[in-house]
Amino acid sequence: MRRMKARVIISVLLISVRAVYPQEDKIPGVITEIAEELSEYNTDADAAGEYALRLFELSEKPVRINTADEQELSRLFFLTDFQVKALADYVRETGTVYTVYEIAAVPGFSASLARMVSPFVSLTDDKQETGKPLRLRNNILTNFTVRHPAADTSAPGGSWKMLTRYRFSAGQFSGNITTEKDAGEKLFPGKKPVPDFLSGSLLWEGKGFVRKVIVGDFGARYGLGTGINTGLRMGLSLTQTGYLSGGDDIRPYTSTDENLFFRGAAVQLRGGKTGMSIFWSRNRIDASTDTTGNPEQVSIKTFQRTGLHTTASSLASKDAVTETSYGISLTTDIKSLRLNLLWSQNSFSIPVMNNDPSLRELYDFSGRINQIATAGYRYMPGKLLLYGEIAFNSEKRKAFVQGLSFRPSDRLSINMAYSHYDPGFTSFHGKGLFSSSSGDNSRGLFGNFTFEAARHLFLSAGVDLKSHPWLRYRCSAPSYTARRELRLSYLPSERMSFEAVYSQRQSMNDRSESNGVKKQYDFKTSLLKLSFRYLPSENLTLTTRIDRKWVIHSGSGGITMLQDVSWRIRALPATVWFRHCIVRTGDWDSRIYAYENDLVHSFSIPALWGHGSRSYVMVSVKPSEYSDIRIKFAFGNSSGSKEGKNTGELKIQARVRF
Amino acid sequence: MKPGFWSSFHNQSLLPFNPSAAAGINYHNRFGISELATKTAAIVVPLENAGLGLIYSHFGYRDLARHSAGLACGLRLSEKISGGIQADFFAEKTAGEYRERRSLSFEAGLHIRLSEQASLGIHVFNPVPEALRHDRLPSSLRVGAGLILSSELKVSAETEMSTEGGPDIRAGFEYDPARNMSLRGGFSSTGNCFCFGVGYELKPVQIDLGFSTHDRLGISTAVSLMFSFR
Repeated sequence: MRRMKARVIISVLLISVRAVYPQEDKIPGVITEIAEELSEYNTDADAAGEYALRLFELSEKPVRINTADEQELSRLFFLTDFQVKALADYVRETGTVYTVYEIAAVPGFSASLARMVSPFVSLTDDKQETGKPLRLRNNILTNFTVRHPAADTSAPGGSWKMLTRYRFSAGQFSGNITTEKDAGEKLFPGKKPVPDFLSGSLLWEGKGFVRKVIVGDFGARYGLGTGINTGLRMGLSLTQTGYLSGGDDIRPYTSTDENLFFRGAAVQLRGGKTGMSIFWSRNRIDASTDTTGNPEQVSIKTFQRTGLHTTASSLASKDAVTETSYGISLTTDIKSLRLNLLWSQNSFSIPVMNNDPSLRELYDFSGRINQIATAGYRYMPGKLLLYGEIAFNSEKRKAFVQGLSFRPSDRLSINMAYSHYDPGFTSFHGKGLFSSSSGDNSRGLFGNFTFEAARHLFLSAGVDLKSHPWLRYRCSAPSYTARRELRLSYLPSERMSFEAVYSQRQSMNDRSESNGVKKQYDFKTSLLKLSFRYLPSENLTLTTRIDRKWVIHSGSGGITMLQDVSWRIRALPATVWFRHCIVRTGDWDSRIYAYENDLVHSFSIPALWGHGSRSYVMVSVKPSEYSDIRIKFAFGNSSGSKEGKNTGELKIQARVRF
Repeated sequence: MKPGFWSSFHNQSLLPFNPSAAAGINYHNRFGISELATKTAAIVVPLENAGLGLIYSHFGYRDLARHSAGLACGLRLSEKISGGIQADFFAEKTAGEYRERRSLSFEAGLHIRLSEQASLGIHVFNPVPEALRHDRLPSSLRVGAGLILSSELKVSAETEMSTEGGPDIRAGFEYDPARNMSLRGGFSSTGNCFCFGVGYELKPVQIDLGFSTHDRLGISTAVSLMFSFR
């Protein structure tokens, strides 16, 4: 009774500050920083888009925390297993959660984390929904983007980009269709009136033995992702405690990466504490082919992952290879222990040849079939979490991850992990925990901690050290990379936050001027980010940020200062976002990334460099409950821009729900 | 950060805080060189929860002259927040065969009262696409905060970054030793510039004197006269 009374008081107190979290701002600052960190990896830039997309999807279909089990709660993929379990325990013990701010009182959560979670959870329960008649909900979204100057004026199609996405749901059924035309591509590149990229799927979700059935395009992740993970690479952020949660998941594919998904069917079953997932896929993917070495045999020279079809060679490589994949996954829970097994096979219609490899490509995959078997576990006795996974492919190359998370108190959490990926460990649909962007050739040690040093003051630090025993892109010798980060957050009130982040990155690269045997140099950068966020009223959000970057080996550096204003005009109703950013950087190496608000289901993290400015204005208008329109106009000028001195970009989005 | 006549053109969101209509003139002589002097005249007119301002400025001499004019408007948006905007016109003339360069732009500011003692100010200048004009005009962003430490002492600090230069950090104070008198001091990181000033109010006139140092270029002086129509 006393606890109930306390909860009611907390709820009443927290309702009064509810208005300070504008729901339109679906991507809180903490998450945008992870998106920026992802974009620092040039080879994995799409991950930021995938990340933003998953957040938007989550905000549109929030987790019903009052009726959710641990598996449902793990859809909040940025939470740790600890936090998921603590939230599940809290709901189980105390009953209904009345406001999302009550989450701040859950062990392992803070006010800032509650704020981060708030757009992605719902407090309604299933019972409120079950009484309602089955209703068909439709959602259509269209994006139109045009840039000046056009990236490639010789491309066969128009310089505009278009994305259309249709989704429906009716009770346990849902489905989606996505079409996309990139800038420079023809809308209908073939003889049939079919867009350059067309994707769709149907999903049925149940609560009994059969949990999910997907027909069409889908993505999957099993365990820690060393075998299969078509989504985000986990564990990239150095100081965020979340993002480490493992678990099996199949989900309809809604992204626009044109190659890294499955096309076929997948089923997820669960009986008691044991689950099983089976999938089968046959998909046509882009690859450049060759007959070198054997004129009789066409073989795959390179897989093309960009999805851009604007040149003769890229059009020739479009859908050139058929990839067949299938697999089975088993998982079982024994008290605090979860075990999982996965076996999968990829085969290609023509073989991948590696006849005359350079030294760097010595271990690269060749052949037609690749099989992967993984075994993993997760054990959570009390405040300790142990997890690990081992994977072998048909070339007998292995990957191995072992990690632990420890929460000695609610104010301190510690994570450590060791990862090992053999050179040549090939997993065509895998993105393992703490793997490099190529997915192989690394041995790493990771550690971080988050500490609530005082009331409203949070200190966190992380380090990720990797050695690469074989040669890698832009480095013709065994090498190492290191990332370090220190983060200090001060949140004196719900309306105000200060954050300072200092990070360092270090890697070895080939010297461009060296001949013969390449010599290497240490490429080291340091970045200091200072940000201040303030909500003077429930309709206005202000963010000021200053970034300073140093490139150690060249002595160059850069600085940016930006101001964000987000204003919700209730009378219209509309929301206006404005940013003005001043940039001064020495060269491309000292570029600074800054996340920009963008269209729903879209993202923008421009690399800022040179001397100049970048600004944008975005307006979102909701003429009715069933529709909204968003228009973004971004412009900039820079003495160092690759695209030209002056750049401009117009994006228009219309969404209709019925 | 402190509301006042000249600060209303530094951040237009301060315009609604002017208690009465006022007119002022200012003469700023850089480094003791008359050719680098700026002459400014301005008026402000208070309205209900708003304020209007008009400013004209002339810099230079016969062979290099820059005229600028601005029409500003500030509005109280809520109890704590006010905003302002100013439309600017610039004309620059150089002797010889060079053409006259003219530009239109705008600047805008926001003022937020964090508490009775603290306030925050944001100002952007020329957030306009370069492609819309022939001549390049720099753009800048300023963010600052002010604090009232006592009824006699106020302090403030701000950071400015411009496309034409690196970041400039400024800090300053105003101390009122007597009811009609103010002493001022400040520092700017660009050029390690220190400034000092004094203001005296002899109603309805206020006189302000100031000078600043530059580590290489010497001393600049400024004088202004402001008349309030109460």
